[in-house]
Formats: sequence, structure tokens, C-alpha cells
Amino acid sequence: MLRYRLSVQDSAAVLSDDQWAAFVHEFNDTGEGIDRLLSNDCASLIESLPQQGFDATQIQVLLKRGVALAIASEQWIGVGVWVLGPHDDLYPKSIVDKLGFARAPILFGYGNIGLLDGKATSVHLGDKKLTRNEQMCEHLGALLAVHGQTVIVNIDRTQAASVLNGVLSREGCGVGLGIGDLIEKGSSHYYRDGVMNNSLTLLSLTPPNCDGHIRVDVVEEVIAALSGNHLHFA
Amino acid sequence: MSVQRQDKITTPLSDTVNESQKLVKLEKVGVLCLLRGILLAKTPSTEDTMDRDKALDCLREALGDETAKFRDGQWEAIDRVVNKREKLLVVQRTGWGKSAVYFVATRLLRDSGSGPTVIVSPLLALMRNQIDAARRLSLRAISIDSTNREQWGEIIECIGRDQYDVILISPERLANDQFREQVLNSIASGLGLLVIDEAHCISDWGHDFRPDYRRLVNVLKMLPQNTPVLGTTATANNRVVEDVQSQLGEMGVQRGELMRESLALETLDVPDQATRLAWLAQFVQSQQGTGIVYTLTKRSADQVSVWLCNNGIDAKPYYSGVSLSGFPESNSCREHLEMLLLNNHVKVLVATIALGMGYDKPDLSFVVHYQSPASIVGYYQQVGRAGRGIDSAVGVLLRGNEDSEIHEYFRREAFPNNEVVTRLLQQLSRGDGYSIRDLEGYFNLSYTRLAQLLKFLSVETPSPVVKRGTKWFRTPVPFELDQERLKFLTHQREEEWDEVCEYVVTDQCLMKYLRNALDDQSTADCGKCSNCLGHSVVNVSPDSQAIRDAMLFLRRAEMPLELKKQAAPNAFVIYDITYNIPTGLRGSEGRVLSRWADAAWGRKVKEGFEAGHYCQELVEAVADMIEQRWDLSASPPQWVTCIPSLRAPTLVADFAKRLADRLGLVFSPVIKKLLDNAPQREQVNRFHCCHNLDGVFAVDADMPSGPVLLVDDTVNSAWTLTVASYLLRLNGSGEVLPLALANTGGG
Ligand SMILES: [Zn+2]
Repeated sequence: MLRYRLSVQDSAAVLSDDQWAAFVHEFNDTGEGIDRLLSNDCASLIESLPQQGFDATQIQVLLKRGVALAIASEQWIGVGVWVLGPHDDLYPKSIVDKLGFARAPILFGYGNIGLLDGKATSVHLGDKKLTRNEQMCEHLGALLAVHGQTVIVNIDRTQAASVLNGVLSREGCGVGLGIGDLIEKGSSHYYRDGVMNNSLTLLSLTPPNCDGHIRVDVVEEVIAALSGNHLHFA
Repeated sequence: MSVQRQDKITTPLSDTVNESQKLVKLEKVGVLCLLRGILLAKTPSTEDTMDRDKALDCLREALGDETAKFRDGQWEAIDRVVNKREKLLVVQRTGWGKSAVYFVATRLLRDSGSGPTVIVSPLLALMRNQIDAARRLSLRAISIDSTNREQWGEIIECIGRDQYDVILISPERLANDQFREQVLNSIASGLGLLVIDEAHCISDWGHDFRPDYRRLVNVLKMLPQNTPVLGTTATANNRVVEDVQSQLGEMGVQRGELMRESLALETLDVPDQATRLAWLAQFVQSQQGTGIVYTLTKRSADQVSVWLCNNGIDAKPYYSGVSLSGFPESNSCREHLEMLLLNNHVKVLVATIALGMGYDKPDLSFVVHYQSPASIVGYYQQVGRAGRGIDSAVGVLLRGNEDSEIHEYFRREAFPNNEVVTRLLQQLSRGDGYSIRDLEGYFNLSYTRLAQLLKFLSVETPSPVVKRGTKWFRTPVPFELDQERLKFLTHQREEEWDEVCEYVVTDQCLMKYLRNALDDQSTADCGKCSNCLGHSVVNVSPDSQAIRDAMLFLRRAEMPLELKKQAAPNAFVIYDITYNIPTGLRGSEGRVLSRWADAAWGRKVKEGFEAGHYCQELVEAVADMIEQRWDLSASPPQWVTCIPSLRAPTLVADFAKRLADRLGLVFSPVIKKLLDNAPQREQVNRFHCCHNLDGVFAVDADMPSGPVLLVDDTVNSAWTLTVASYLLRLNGSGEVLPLALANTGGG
């Protein structure tokens, strides 16, 4: 609501990561629960905050988008995308633990939430020639799968698909996380079967089909938060 | 028996997440909870509560009548929506004044600082006169539809600057993802009141169910709790009301009396079409005012309309896809026809149920059903169009022989079958996006049927398919058709049909029967229906000459036969037809004598087909048509040929030979069949229709000269005649005039 545009055409002045963090920080200082934003006098509460690094009017304008959000989320849920915020019971604890509530992003996903238990092995693909080799990447994925590890990669990287392909070829489990269009990825033949048989989870930090203004380094942070082991290939 | 709707919001989660957790997850989506607060914060405080006097002033202003009073229930509805911010379903007869309710409510809400009202209505053309009513309340109203697409940007900007109070959109727009992204998101931000016109369309228990409304329901479920919602309907029975309530959650219901005092009802069992036509012509001629005649099919609408015109009655057909010269687009044509009736420039519209919801002509004096409707709910809605603003009107239901079979067909086609759904999803899983044209190559289903099927699947939640641009994709969502529910719904429809059959024969008061069937528990008889009176309310009895004329009309009701112009790509590999069939190689416009098994010649064609011999009466009928009613003076046929068959080699050839003899022409069977292909009638879409004929025929170039009559017995897609015409022309024949005995296609 405060951080995301709801469609490609949405031109709402959403909060940047820093503004969001500042708002959450000040809001937490009031000692109020998030429920307070549901109250009739939430406007006066927001205005009473010191507003260092964000603007109360901006927040209130954003909070007026209730119906728009209902429409947008109907579209997401309608095609089977689930949406998890840090307040949800199923939200991965490891993200809140490692990043803190303020930085914990909303997750838009397809597939098995059970794979997000913070124990996966992350594979970070760099730019060297080695990691551009499709077969090598597939082999790597297969190898990790054979050792029973859930593999997590930045799905927007070149060859991320190859790694996941390798994982799935050995009946392993994988997680792909990025900021791209989740519906497009989930509906592609590369990933569809894996998602449907619960061995692959696709996550996006932005709503489907929307420009979310999420920095790429946030993707890396979230991957780190969801991983127990890290493999870097520079 | 009762079956509960199952909200299928299961997601492909891990096995460790149990069902209740899944539900919790969707309910507790953090952002949504956060949002629910916002409009709560905007609730007017108690000091702002609108009083009845102010609302009455608004009503009087809207109606331009200083002495106007609220009708029963109008103020109550306004109060519940404006002051209590309820979600309310209003069930009131048409003409009760629902638009006054939502316009007055909008005025009051706007005066207290709320955002604009969005009205979702299936019939925008007729909302235009409501826009005038809105203006009288100084409400600025705008409709956003396909006719003003270029102005959407401008309109959205104006909405952003709060320059409109009322925004009208259609349910189709609401379900369109592109429209949602481009337009709706911007509108929705400050919405003050949501009005859902014809809210019974939400329920798939009713025959009016529209898939687009299902997505509307999903949006409604997620709206902030105290966004006022006003649903209106004139036709819901308890079953439908309960279903709408169960889908929308907490929704109040306000229900008025359905009785229409001015309407005199009658039912007549008239099995054969000729008698019915004769009755109809005499009846309409005897009526002072204007009316609607309802038929079950487009073909009947056309036919009945021609018959009435032949009898000196100003009648026009009306259905989805109807065309009129001067109207390149069917919607504008429909709008034109609606206006003709509204302004009494036509005596009668002969319409399918496409002339439906929202059509309001207060002085309509009769509604006749040429064939029985599918349900009492539908019947009440249609017959209830008569006599809204006048003292007396007539509603007659004629039951025909063919009705039962037509409804059985409708029920069979209403829902997709499991095997087709499974195969379609499998095909979509094999690639990354298919257009409907692409899918035609894999399925022997018509374009329309495929489009309907995809639409059906796309409104499931979660949906196994998603449309992006022009292509359809398989989403990673497991899906199984809820066959139990479809079986249940089909059973419901059978029961509804039984109720209609019962209505035709009941000896109790007809109005009471309708009201009771709609759960309006009144016990009083109307005193004016044919059962109350003990005699007919219309006094029409066609004489035997009129019936003979009608029979002759039915027997002369041949149809033009248009051949195809464009082949499916890659379907004719052997004949090497790539796409457009060149003009010089096409057959001309032909004729089809009848409709398969119809009351006129169609029954004779069916009998002949089954017996393996077409009777001489059919030869005479075709010769009569050619000589009397088919103007071939520009290219009189010189010889006759026919489509050959390997299975019944003499059936058509024998008929064509006798026809040639009768017309004094040469019969020359120059077309040979080389392959025993699958029956053409089993081929449904363009690709399969074409592909099934590739290389099947060859033509002997040694043929008589001059225009030729090309004869076949049945025609469905017309591809056989198209290909044969092409081959004849390619081998040097003169003009080809295609001719068939019966059309076996739907419509
Ligand atoms: Zn009666």
C-alpha cells in the first residue's frame, strides 16, 4: 500500500525504502500496534509523528488507495499468486529476524511456502565466463540437489534458469527470487511444472506486472536472509 | 438438497500447510488489513448523518417534481447506504425507482465529501437517459466504454481532479485487465459508493449469470469493510438472493412486492409453428401499443420478424450480433433498435434474451413468448417489461413443440466438459502462450467455444489460465473442474424448466404462480389472468387460411448460403490454398432450402436422409424456389452437378439428377471423391473444417459450359461447397451456384 505501485499505469508517489524505514521507525516509537492504522483517528496519529524522512500527507494519500488495492490484489490472487507481508503467520521468520521488520519486503509468490525456511543454499552468479556456461550451471544445480540442498538464486540473473533446471532434473527443490514479472515466469514452461509439483517456489519483491522500484541489492539481502549457506561465483 | 459454494482459494502451497492456514493466509494479507482502515477513517461522523428531508429535497430536484414522495423502501435504502454505509441488495420490481435511490445517495455522499459513485451496469446505452436524471441533481456523470476509448486519458485526469460524481462502466470492462490497469485503478482510489446494477448476474444459479460478474465478486470481497455497496435487481428469488449474499458476505436485503397490477397473463400450448405464427400476426395486429416478441434463437427472431413484416406489421429482429445496413458495428445497431422501440418508431421487436436487463419502456403494452423461456425468473423479468407505466398490458406465453429440445441443447452446452478442459490445459502447458487461432489447430472446437471455455476458466479463483496481450498462458495452478457443482447447476436448470412447463398447464392464478415461484408469498389472485377470468384475455383465433399462409411462409423460408473466403493457414497442403481464396475461384451466393428437421421442409430432409432417398416433394420445393424466388436472370444455370459421397453414393446424385430433369438441365457428376474422410459435420473450427477436405475431391475438366448448380443435401460450415466450387472454377467451370437442402448448423 505504502511502498508499491499497483499497476504499470499507477503513478502514486510510493515510499522509497528509506522513507518506509523512517515511517516504520517513528510509528514503532508511538508504541501503537499496526492495527492503529485501522482506527478512525489514524490521520491525527500520522500527523503527530515527527516526520523525519517522510511526509504525512503522502502517507495519507497512499492510504486512500483501498479500493484500488482490492482491485489489484483480486487480479494477483485470481491467477494464483500469493501475497505475504511481515504480519502474516506464514511469512518467513528468517527475513524478519535478519533484516528487521522495517526492511522486510512484501513477497509475491508462486509455489511452496514451506521451502522458505531459511536453510537453503544460495548460489550467487557473477559475470565471469564460467557462470555463463549453461551446462556448468545445470551441473551445479544437479549436484546441490543430489546433496539434498534447497537451492536459491536471483532469478533475474543470466543462467539462473539453468541452475534451477539442474536442481529440478534431480528432483531437488529450488527457490527463484527477483523483481521481475511473476506471472510471466510462473506461466513459462521452464518453471510451471516445478511450481505445480511443489519443488519450486518463485518469488518477486514487486507486484505482478508492476514497476515496484525495488533496488537490486534488496534482492541480494533477501536471498541472504533465506539462506543457510552461500556459494559465490564471481 | 443443498450444496454449499466452495470458495476455491487454495493455492499450491506445501503439504505441510493445512487448509485452514491457507485460508488464514489470504484473509490476513497484511496490506489488505492495513487498507481496511482507510475508509473507516473516512466514515462521516454522526453529525453528518443525512436526514430524510434533505434526501426528499434531492429526490424532488431529481424528478423535477416539487410534490414527489419517496416510494416504499426508497428512503430506507438511501439511509442504509449513506448513513449506515451498508452493503445492500435491493430486490424491487423494475420501474420502482432504483436510479433515484443511487443518484440521491450519490448527491448526499458527495455533499459530505465522499468520492464519486461507480455504477457497474450491463446496459450502458440505456443508462444515458439516467445521465440526464443525474444532471438534474447537478451530478456530473460520465460513461467509460469502448466508444470513447480515445478520451479515457482525459476522463481519468478529470476524475483525478474530482470533476465527476458518477462513473458508469460495464462488467466486461471491469473484468478486462488492461482496463483495470489503465483506468480503474485511478478511479478506485477515492470511490464513495459502488452500485451493481442487475446484481443477480453474480449468481450462477440464475440463467443470467455472467462470467465477468465473478471477478466483480472477487473485488467486492476485498473492499474495505465500510465501502457502501448497492446491488439492485428486479428478478431474484430466494435461491438467487441467498447465493448473492453468500458470495458477497455481509449484505443486507431489502425486498419489495413484485406484483404488477396492470399485467394480464395467459398461456397457450400451440405445438406447431404455423399456427403459432398465424396467432401471432393476428394478435399483434389487434394490439394498440408496441411490444416485444421473445424467441429462443436468432434464426427464429429473423424468421418471425419477416413473417410479421409480410403481414404488414412493422417488426425488426434483435439479438447479439444483429446487423442492419448503415451500422457497421452490432452494438450500435442494437442501440438503434432499442431507440426505435423506445420512440415508437417500430411496432414490435422480435428479440432473443439479448434484449434483456435494464430495458425500460414504461408504455410497452405486450410481451409475447413465441417459445417458452428457460425459467420462471427469466420469464418474470421479460414479461415484466410490459405495463410498467400504463394501466393495462398483456403477457402471453406460447409453448411450442421444439422448446424442450432447444432448452436441452442449451443446458448441454452451458458448461464445459471435463475432458475438453483437461486437454486444453495440457495443450497450454506445452508452450508459452497460444492465441485462440493457434488453439484451433489443436482442437476441433469453434473459435467462439474456445473463447467461452477460456473465459470460463479465467474467472475461476485461482485461475489455471491467464491472458496477456492476445495470448493465453497456463498458470502454475492445479485445477480440477468442479463437476459436482456443474451437475448440481444443470439439475437446477432442469427444475427451473419443469417449473415453466408447470406454468403453462396450471389452473391457478398465473400471476400468483409467478410471484410464489419468485418467493413473493402472496396468496391473492390477480383477477385478470386467463385462469382467473376463465377465458382468454386476448381473443385471438386464427382461421385455417391464415394457418395455411403461415405454413407456406415456413416452406418458403430458404436462407442465403454464403461460401467461405479465407482458409485456415496450413490446412490445405495438397490444394495449396494459403489464405484468401481468389475472387475468380469462389462460388456465388447460394440457397439453403430449410433448417434440418424443422417444421417446414427440414423434417422431410431428415426423413429422406434416414431412408436413403429424398422425396419428389423436395425436388418440387427446390425447383419452385429456383424458379419463383431466386433471381438467377444474370446467370441462369446451364447444368447441375453434386457433391459425391462414398458412403451413400446415390443419395445426393439421385436427387440432383431428378432436379436437373425437372429444370430441363443437364446433370453431369464431374466431382469425384478420392478419400473417405471423416464426416464434415464433426469438424467444428476453421482449421479442422479445411484440413478434413484437403485432397478429398478431384474434378473432371471435361464438363459442360455455363453457370452450374452445385447440389448437396446438408450444409454446416459450407466448407465442402466452398472447396468444390474452388475446384470447379479452377478446372474451368462457369459461375458456381451452391444449393443445399438443409442447414444443420446452430444459431
Ligand atoms: Zn390471475
